[in-house]
Amino acid sequence: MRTVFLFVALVVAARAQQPPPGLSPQEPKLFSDGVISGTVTDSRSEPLAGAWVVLEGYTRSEKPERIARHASSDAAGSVRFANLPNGAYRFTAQMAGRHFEWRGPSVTLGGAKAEGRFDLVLPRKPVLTGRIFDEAGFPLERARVQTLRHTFNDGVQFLMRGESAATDDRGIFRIVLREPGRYWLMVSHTERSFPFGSAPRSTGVAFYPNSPDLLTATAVEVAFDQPEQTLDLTLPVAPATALTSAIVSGPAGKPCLQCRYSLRRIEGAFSYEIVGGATSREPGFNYFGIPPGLYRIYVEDQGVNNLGWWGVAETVVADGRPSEALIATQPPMPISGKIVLHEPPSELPELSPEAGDPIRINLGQPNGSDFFSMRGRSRSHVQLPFEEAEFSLGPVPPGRYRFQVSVQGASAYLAGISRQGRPLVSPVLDLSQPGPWTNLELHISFGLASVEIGIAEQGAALGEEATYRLLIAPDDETNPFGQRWDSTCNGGEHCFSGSLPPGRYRAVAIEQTGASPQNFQNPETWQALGPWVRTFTLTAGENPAVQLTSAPGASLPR
Amino acid sequence: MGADCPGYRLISINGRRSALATYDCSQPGPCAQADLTLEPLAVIEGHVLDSNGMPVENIGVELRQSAAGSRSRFRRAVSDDRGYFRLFHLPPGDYDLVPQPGSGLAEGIEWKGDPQHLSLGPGDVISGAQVQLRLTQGVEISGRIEGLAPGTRQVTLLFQRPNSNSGRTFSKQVEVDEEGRFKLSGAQLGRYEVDLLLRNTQTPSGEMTRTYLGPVEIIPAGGGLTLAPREPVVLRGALNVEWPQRDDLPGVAEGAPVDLMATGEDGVRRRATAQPPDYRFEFLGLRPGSYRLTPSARGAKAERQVGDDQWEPLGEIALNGGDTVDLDLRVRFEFGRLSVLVRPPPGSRAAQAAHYVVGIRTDGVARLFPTDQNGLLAVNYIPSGDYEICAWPDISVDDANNSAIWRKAGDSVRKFRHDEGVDMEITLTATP
Repeated sequence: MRTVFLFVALVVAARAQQPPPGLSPQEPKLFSDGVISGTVTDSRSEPLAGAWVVLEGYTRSEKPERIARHASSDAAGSVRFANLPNGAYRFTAQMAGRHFEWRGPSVTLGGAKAEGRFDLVLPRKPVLTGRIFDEAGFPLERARVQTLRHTFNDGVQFLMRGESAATDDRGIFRIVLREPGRYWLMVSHTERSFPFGSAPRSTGVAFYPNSPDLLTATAVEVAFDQPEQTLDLTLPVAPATALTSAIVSGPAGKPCLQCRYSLRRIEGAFSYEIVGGATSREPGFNYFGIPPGLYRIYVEDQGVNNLGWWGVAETVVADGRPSEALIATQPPMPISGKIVLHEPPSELPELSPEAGDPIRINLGQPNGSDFFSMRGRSRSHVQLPFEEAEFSLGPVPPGRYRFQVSVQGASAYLAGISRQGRPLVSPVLDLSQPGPWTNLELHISFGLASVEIGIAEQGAALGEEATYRLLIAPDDETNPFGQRWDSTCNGGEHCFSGSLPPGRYRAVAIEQTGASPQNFQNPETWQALGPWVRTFTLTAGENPAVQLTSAPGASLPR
Repeated sequence: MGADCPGYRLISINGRRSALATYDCSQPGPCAQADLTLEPLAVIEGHVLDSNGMPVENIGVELRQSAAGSRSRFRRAVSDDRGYFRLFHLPPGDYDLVPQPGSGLAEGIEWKGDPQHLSLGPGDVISGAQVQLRLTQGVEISGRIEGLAPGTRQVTLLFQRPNSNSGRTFSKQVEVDEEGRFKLSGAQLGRYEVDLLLRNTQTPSGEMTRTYLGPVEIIPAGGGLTLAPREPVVLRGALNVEWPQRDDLPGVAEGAPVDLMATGEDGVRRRATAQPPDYRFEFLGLRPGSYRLTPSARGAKAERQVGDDQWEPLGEIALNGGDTVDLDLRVRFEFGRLSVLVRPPPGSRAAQAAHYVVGIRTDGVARLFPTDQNGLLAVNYIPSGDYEICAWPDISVDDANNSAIWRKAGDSVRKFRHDEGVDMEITLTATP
């Protein structure tokens, strides 16, 4: 019996020495004795114990295999992964209340007894907490606390809804924010006030610190690693407002029973939703106790017959007297026109029939109202052969749309748009302006500018772990059709290596020290970065390389 | 009449616990005296912790009612940046506290936790509840997919837990060789239904096609899985909706979309919406099996035509792989109002009618309805069937479901047959 057992064991051992299937014996040997160790610290380099670190990567073999391991950091903040096959690995970390974002390059292991290192920094996430009371001093349960922040898109400033929370039975809310920045806090209590405004404890809307309006409110500055901020608010008694509205939709103007709507209060350049919903039994809505002011009401028909019909109306809601609104929808708007090719190269690329039509026109999602979107039956892109010039897209609801154009096999770009022969100043169509939008000319030029942008070394500062964010923006005045670029790299001469439409540009690189995502469409950010911004003009074809000196990742406007 | 007081619930009116009372206050002047008894509600608060005792953020904690034996959630909280969660306004009862971890640390590395049982009395505050989680690493499996088009190199496999409409799923993009063999890592153990997702390279838009590959079980050190496409099942058709010709019934809006539910043998329900004006419907992603098709609107019945002007209720529909079933159905709404008048028991000192609780029972299951102070009750909708009915001055739900109580009521119990669409009136004498 003993002999037989030994024989079986030998066969197993012999099999184990054969290369795994799919790996030919000629390939470089895959060692599996690599070690990667690292540390997890907070922003002040104090070790963090108990953080979960996940290593994920692929082996360096003909058929790469996924490797995923996890371990928690010890009291010294150390983590160690052993017996790793040759490969490239990245890391994620998870710890309650802490933010993590991997920015570094992969850690690669090659050869025998390979070793690698990582250092992870987990700053504390910003926390806003507090209690909401009614005017009698009772804590309010299920009050809605909404954060709002302003942001930029296509040069337009607007308010964006951030994280939100509801108060618990003690009136306590707690909001953990993902991004640092300046936030307004809007508190409402929709269940007890609108739409059921008859409740005895009906409450209005308040902004921190106890302000009735956004413009008189104070934004709260939040950053990583700051202690949690306690913000208590008292909700006032609801104002004596009443808004009654009716919605009619479709060509016959019938009452709309399947309309989605949003009531946005307008303050200066900002608008924000107070309440929204959908009609079902009644072709409209009634609200009591909403804050007085100017409102813009957005409506979209979701029924089968008039799908996508939309309406926007403005109305004033006044304290002490009832207000009314009638909203009638309009059909979504078709977008059409023709393309004009400017001096195409003498030989346009020959394309195989399977590749499809070479010219592609794409209409981006609308921006600005965050209520309407392209959905259902509207066409967002079209492909055309060289011989054909006419295109049609949509129909679409109002909003700010951006065109993108590409020609397969050629370095082409959208150089301009004209409408009824008059050039538009930007590639953004503002479809809240009167139409029609059926007579556009898209001008396509050929010959992109190719350029390399590098980040100059600053002595020893350019370590292996440094990461830079590179921003390229076209000059708004002279080059509105230029292309925006936002990426990260690890420094060096080839941070950007690619093609852009010719024209004037500005570029800046910022060293990424902590987790500090910012909106770089904010003009104030560019002003603050002034000394590090380089301006240059690109012409079709090859351009001289551009060298940048990186800006420190210190606090920038948000 | 009800009461809304945060942290409390209404348990009785004028000392009667069985049901809330209704009042006819159509006449001027005081119509009733109501003394309300409120009961404090309970709170559970605590932390979600990992195997090191560290807090875990963003973990769903569900409270389910144990007695109901249901998988449905009663309340849900999510752990915050301190691992803290709080469930409040909880009526007394037996509950299961079930962790619902959602996404794990990475693909294949998931949080797991066990349900724990809790009993809550009125006003109980359970502080320091601990929900313990541990990390589990998925296993590597290999297998083969049959019937793939030649040249297919990459496919996506979608794994879905059976018996759940929204339950845990994971999808994996896998490389396949010439014979359809694949390897997959990070798979969590258990039973799954598997679908194959393939991008159609023949059309420019490249839409995804979904093919059912059957049920599989992933076991530790599992061998190879052999997966073969099952032929798709299509169930579609159109509804001819006959709206009720009466406007005194809530919940029926003429011209509204009609939802159909297909309930499989495993209890999993799939929904298709028939939209006006043509009321066409199609169920997507049905597995082969037997289904019961019901409109989800109250009182709605679906029937199919079996002859000239002959209709019969829709029974089970058996669907085999490859079947395409077209159904033209008639949907009718059958409402019938049941009006009940309860008279005081003979010889009772209260010559005047009063509040009663009416039990209506079929197959041993009773539902309770309160009358107004004049002993009047109107029920808008009850399904067709044979019923027993009885009225008590007050009764609890438990007693109403106890057959001995019904036997004891003797002659006070009346039997009746109710047909949908027919209004009927019943006069009862209450039990002493």
